[in-house]
Amino acid sequence: MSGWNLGLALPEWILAGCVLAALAADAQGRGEWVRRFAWFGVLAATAAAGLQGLLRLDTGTKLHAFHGRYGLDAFAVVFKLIFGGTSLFILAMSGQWLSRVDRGHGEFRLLALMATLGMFFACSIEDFASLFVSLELITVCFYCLAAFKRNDARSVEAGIKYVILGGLASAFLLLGIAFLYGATGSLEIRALSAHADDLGHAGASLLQFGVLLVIVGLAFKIAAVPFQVWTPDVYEGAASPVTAFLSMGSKAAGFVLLLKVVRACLGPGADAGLRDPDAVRWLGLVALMAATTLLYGNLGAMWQGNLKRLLGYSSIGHAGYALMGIFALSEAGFAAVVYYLMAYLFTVLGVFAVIILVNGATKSHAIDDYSGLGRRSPFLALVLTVGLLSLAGVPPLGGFFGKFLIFRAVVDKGGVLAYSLAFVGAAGVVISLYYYLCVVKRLYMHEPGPDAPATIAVPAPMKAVLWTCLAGMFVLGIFMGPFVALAEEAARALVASR
Amino acid sequence: MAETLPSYVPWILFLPAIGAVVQQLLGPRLPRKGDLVVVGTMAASLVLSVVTMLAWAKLPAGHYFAASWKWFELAGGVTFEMGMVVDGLTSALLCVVTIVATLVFLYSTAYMKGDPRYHRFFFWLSFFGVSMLILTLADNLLMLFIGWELVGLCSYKLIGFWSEDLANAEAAKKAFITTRVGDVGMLIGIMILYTQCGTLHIGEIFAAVKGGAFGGQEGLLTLAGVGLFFGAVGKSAQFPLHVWLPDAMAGPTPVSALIHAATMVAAGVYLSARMFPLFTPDALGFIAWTGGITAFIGAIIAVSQTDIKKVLAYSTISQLGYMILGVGVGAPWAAMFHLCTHAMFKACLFLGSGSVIHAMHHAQDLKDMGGLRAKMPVTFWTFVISTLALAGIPLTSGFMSKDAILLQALHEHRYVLFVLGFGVAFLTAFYMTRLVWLCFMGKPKNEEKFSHAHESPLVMIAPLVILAAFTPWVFWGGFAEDFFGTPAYYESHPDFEHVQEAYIAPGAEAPHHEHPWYFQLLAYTTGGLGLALGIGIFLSGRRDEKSRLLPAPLHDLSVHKFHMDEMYLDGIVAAGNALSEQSHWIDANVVDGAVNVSGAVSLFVGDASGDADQVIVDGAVNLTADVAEGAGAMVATAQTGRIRNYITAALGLTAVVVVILVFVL
Repeated sequence: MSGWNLGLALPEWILAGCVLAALAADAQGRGEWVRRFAWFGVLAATAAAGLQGLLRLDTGTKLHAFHGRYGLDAFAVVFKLIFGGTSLFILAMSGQWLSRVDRGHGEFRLLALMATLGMFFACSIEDFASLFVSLELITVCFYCLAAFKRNDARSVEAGIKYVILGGLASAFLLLGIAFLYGATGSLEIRALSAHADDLGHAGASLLQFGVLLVIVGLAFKIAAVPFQVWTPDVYEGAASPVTAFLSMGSKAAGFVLLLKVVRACLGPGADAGLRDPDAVRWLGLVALMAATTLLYGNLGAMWQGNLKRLLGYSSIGHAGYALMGIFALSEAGFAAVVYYLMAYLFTVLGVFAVIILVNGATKSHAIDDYSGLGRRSPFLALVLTVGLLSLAGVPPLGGFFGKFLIFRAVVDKGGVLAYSLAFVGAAGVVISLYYYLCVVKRLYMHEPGPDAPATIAVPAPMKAVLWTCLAGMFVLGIFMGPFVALAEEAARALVASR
Repeated sequence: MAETLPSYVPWILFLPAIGAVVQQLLGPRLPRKGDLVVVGTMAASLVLSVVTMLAWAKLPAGHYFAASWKWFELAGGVTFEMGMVVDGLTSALLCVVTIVATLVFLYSTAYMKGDPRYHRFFFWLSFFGVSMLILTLADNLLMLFIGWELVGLCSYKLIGFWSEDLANAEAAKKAFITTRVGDVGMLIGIMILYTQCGTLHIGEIFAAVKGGAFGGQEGLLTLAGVGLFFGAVGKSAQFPLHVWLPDAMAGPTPVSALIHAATMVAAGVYLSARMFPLFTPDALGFIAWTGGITAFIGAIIAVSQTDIKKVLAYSTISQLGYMILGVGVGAPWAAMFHLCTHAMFKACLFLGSGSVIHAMHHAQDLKDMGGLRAKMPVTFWTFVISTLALAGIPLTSGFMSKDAILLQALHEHRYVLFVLGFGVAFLTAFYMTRLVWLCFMGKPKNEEKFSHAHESPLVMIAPLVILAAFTPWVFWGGFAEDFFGTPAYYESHPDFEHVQEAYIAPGAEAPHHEHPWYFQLLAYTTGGLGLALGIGIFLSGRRDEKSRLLPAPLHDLSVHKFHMDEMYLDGIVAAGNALSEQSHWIDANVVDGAVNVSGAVSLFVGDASGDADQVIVDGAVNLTADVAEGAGAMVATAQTGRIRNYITAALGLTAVVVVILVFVL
């Protein structure tokens, strides 16, 4: 654990270097170079993370750098690949969208690159100070991104709402961290492990409040109760590529950190695994958070006439499902969360790619304006349909298998609480089927409006994104073997590290 | 030796705190919006402060009152305490703060009459009093820092009290940010001390330093001292962070009198005096020069100002420079003496200027004034008496305290600073004469405003008279000897002598010095000369524009305030802007957006809520469960688009979670 071991953070070094280079290039007004640095940075960092995973890690090993403040294990590598993939998709998608914006091309890519750097760090942090810094690095970039269309009142409004509620959440998080520091005398996340017994005791303590406030603060990132309210407004107001990035990258970053904290709370159990999860007193709270989150999201989505707003609610719902996986407090549950996020990556980014293209032609996000898309642009309609079905969890798509793993982990856990939660989750799925299918119905059963544009042109990078997402959804739903193995490897590494 | 804290001492703090809470909660429903609650509790606090001071004075030399309570404990046995200490330093400042605060509160009841946010004004005023008392009573750096930041917050809110005018909001922001720059240094100093000494209790820090906590690391101790002093540079408006204080005059005049002349700005001097044993000779040299330069620059600029409050503001900067100079030359007792005398006569001057401004219907420019002597006799005479004290005319309090500082400078062989100090004294006498002349003497320059002018009501002039009563030398004669003649209050810190021997230049312990003949000559004549020159110039009938005392280059610098604002704007701010397009963009869109959020949000709320309420029912909803439908509608309408609802929702739901954690699980 001791030693600087600086080389271990190679992906982050690459990203940080590219951020600085891109900053310099943008200050010189060389937007083209910013694009190159952004692409190079994300590609190289993702490749480096992958290679590190292949070459330096055996099953169960964990390497440390920065005197133990930075850790690299399979969990970190898998999430870095997820974030790298997300950023690549976002860069590819934003090209087409940026061509319709007359300014700030460099800024957009620079901010995306910086957010990616924060996400990479989030995968590897080992103490609360780094947790906060990496989280803020991500969040501050998203504040700017959300308000990116500065001439558009809705975008600025989205940015302001995001800033204020984000600041509130950060305050909770910081207070929680301060409590935990007071209770444990250490900023290391793994220091919580030594106090796991206290977390099981009845009676409120500094430690309990600390963990609670940290979880509440992180709920903002994953868009879960009690910090879910911002989601629909910000999703609707922000530019579509930003919303896509927010719904995948930002949410997954929240889950990375949440998983690390929750893991540490479970302490060392028998044979270095997890302790009996029933000894964790606040388990009921996680169940409550999961249930209310998924109900809030799915119920709210039913009424929406704006597709992006609908996806905002749906995003809350999906946070609820992923929280169910955390509720399981088992290796299988954690693996299910990782797999769920992998599937969500291809699904939600595919959907947003379609939204960007359609919005480019119609200038609208109203579901009404998607009427008859099946006749006008069959391919786009196909990707959107498959994406929505995957979000709803229809086999044989990735979204289905992710939900399957999560429900299995919850049911395996057993107990009244688990069964009730599974029931609520199932009800949520039914509701979500309704509102997703309403959109699908509009795509195929309704006549296009009189002024609806004819076939929408799809530029090459977008085509690549769409095909990759389509393939990803099917692969993760049919040939899931290697991906399940990867998710389980990540979960095993998470459980092993404490 | 520590004695048990009398049980009434904490009430000095609690009474105004209760007053503030009561006034805030019930204010709008109380008669006169609860201002009397605030004035009354502060007056009670004043009585207790005097009682405390008398009780302390009865103790044998070297004794003091102290008490502390555990606040919270962290893992590993790290405890943080809240504590109070009452020694000469504390009790003197307590009395000054409570006297000035009580009088200013009383004065404000008339000055702010009819203001639409009268009750909020009194809340912030009383909250300021509480914060200042926290700072004063603290026996540890944590509590002191809390008070320090709270007075900064109150100052910010009160400077920008009339925030409808953008300039006032800008001034408040400038004050807050500029002092914050100094606070960073202070925090660094506190952190160094905590790391090295393992405690934040001031007495224990001194003991630890004496015990070798900095063993051999003189440089680090110097850094800690200079770091703490940086806090004072910001708060006490020392060069180069003095730029905020003149702008702070945007606040209501009672605020200027209380916060920006008498108490808060003196907190830096108090901090420096309190922590004096920590300063190494290098640090003291730095402090002395900072004070000297500030005193000089402030006086130069004051000569050419045309706004009545700006003259007083630069005068305050200059006088604070004197106090800091006093600390730097090893005479913190003299600095504290000057702090106390200055608080009285400067508060009187500010309240007097407030009386004038009140009479002139919020005109502040000297070009509009003149001849007010006849119409406002009480204001005039109290103003003149305070001016004499500020100018350091013999037989006034200002004369005594100023000379104590300059004498020490002489004895420390700081000859340049000594000469500079007398130069400033001369300038002070001159610019104050100019101020009095332009304001009260001669012919009225604005007949229309003059014709409406009148003497202020009793509640406004009574504080003037009381404050002016503190200016004669007799009042301070014995007082100064007891409280400031010897560094008695340092005896509250164990083994002070050793710390002092190790770090203070030899000879600093002896406050009683010979008065050489040239010192006496200078001391007795400088103020008079400045006064005479001023009167001479104006009696000869010259107009203000021609009555230039300063040579042309210096006059230019004076008018342009040494170009400090431009330097900050064109230098630091512009460099920051030029650094990258990004930071500018972020600033314009996100930072400013957040700052101006209340305005912006209300603009967008109409838009957003309109859209959010248009919940579109997509065709016939054939869902089997009507319950789900209703629940969905509830969720969707909960999404009002109003950010305050969102914040309430987030906080409320978090509260629910906490309740569940505590009571259910």
